[in-house]
Formats: sequence, structure tokens, C-alpha cells
Amino acid sequence: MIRIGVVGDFEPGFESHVATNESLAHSAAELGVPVDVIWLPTPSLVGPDAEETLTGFDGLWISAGSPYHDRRGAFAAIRFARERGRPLVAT
Amino acid sequence: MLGIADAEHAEDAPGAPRPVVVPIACSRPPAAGGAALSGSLVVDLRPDSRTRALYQRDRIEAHHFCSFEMNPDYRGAFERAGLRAAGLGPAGEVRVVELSGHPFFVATLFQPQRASRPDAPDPLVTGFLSAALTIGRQTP
Repeated sequence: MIRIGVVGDFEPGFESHVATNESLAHSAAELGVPVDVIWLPTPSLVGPDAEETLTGFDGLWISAGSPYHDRRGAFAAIRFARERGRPLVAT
Repeated sequence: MLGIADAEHAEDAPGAPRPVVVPIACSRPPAAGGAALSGSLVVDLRPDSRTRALYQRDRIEAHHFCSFEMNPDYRGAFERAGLRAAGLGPAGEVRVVELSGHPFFVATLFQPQRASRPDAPDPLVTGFLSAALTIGRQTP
């Protein structure tokens, strides 16, 4: 099971947010692997637990949707992926 | 990553002395009321980029919905720090960046997920997922 953390503040009315989930399902089907997609609200990545949370994901998708509720959470995730060599896509 | 302690985003801090992210300069007219520019974005992909390898095309047209972009004044500093421009707009605007020396670190101004269909997944999304599958939690 691939675990993908989507860093952002999910809004069901945002087409790009819905499309993020759908596109991951499309690509997972093509690769023939199950994927677990978990949205990570930006305020949840500000505290000292953020690193432990992020460690549990195989890849981080930095979501669209500006401004973030707490941009420090988005920065923390980007820094984690950059320094740890964890796959990241930002759209 | 550039060592700029007071680097800012023009949306959060208009008038800051070192805005590394600024309102988008586009050939298209801005939408009424200052709404985010939305529509199709033409992007030329650099030959040696990961993004080019995934799409197998030199030029893509993709949906975007974005009001801000990299401040071109900082492009050289980003390039020297390893964040390379991998995709450019018609006037040389940075539209895709990739981090050198990283297994998969790609940021786009367009939204590849919008083009994905069940029978035609987006190549960049598939490439990201594939990297997560092979590298993922194995990294320290």
C-alpha cells in the first residue's frame, strides 16, 4: 500500500482538490497498486509532531489552494521532503 | 534554501523587501475583480528534465488556476541552489521547477490532476506515485 499525504486544506467545492484524489486513483489503477490518500491540513503540520506524521508517507503532494490556513505547515512538509529525499509533487 | 530569512510571498506580505513569489505576469489579461487567472498554460519542457521524460513531449498545454509565480529576480539564486527551471512559458516565465539531486521533487504552476482521466492518467501524477512506490518510506 502506497501512502500519499496531500498537504492542504481540503475543500470539497475546489475542483483541483477533487481532481487530486481522482488523479491519484487513476494512476494507482494504471500501476496496479493500492494507494491510501490522506489529506494533511496545514495547521496540523506546525507542531513538534509534524516530522513523525510526515515520516509515515511515501510521497507528499503539496496541494493547490492559496492562501493556506497555516503556510508554516506547508513549508514544514516541503522542507521534510527536500531534506529527506522523499518524493514530492506540488501543483 | 536560499538563506533569505525574510523571503516573502506577495499574497501574504505585499510590499515586502524580498518577495520571492509575486503576482503572475501573464500574456493573458487578468480576470475581472482580480480573480485568479484560470485557463490553459503553454509550457515548454527542458530536454533533460524529469517532467519532459514523463510527458514524452517538448511542449504541453495544461490547465492552471494560479495568481502567483516565481519572482524572476530570484531565478538565478534558485538555480544555483539546485532548484532548476524545467518548464518555461512563451516569454521565458518559470512554470515548472525540479530540485537537482533529489529522487523526485517537481513543482508546477499548472494542475496536472485536472487532465487525468480513468483511461488516461496524467504522466506526472503516475511518475510521482511510481517514485513513492519505489523510494517512499525506504528513505531515512
